[in-house]
Amino acid sequence: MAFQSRKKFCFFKENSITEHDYKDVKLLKRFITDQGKIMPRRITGTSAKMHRKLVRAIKQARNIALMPYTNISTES
Amino acid sequence: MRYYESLYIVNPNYEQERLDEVIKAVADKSIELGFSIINHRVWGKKRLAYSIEKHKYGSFILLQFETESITNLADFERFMILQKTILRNQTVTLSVKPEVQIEEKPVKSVGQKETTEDSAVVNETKEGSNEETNVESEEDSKEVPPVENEIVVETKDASAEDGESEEKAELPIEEEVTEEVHE
Repeated sequence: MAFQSRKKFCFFKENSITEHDYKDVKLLKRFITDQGKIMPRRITGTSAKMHRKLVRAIKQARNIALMPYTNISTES
Repeated sequence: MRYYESLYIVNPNYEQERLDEVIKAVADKSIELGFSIINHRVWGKKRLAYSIEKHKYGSFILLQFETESITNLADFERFMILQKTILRNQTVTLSVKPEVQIEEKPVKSVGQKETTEDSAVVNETKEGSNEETNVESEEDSKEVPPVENEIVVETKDASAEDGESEEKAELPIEEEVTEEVHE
């Protein structure tokens, strides 16, 4: 009714970022949950094109052990 | 021409000399395969997100090169996998030509020369050398390249987090002990 949700925006388009670097872990960590899962774009608001590139970068970072596949094992 | 970037992790327990040997072996192989190396530098010692072969830390080395043939890339990949010293490697294509990063070697060499001269003077005087040597060691510790500074900060953060977690883990044990005493 009167409630209006805050409008989502693409982080990368706002900051005019076109390329995703898998070595930039600080940036990529914004788009994963505490468990280490990749957040869906319905929550982050990234555009489809940027989300595809983002997912690729996160998976590359996981392969070279810069980012975790999961945080469950390390917590316990 | 296509540009590629290969990031590989070397055993963290290796000393600088052995690390240089590994880097040289990779550089020789890449030249043998016809790659033209753009950058080849040590990124630093970092904490791994998950342990690889029971190693929690790893020395990351970045190699950027350009080549035309894809078949040589497969050979390079095979060479990297067969190396026991390399824990893991990953080669990625680059869309843009990477910038050539010049290492700040001249600053280091000047500092080393100064220290060697100072040490020579100290040897001549022989007496009262304790204070001077302390000053030299402090100067040496200051002369650290910026890349390594970042690493030091990260490792400190990691160690700090570990410390906190250890403290948290220790707290319940103390409580248990106190309860036993009350009983």
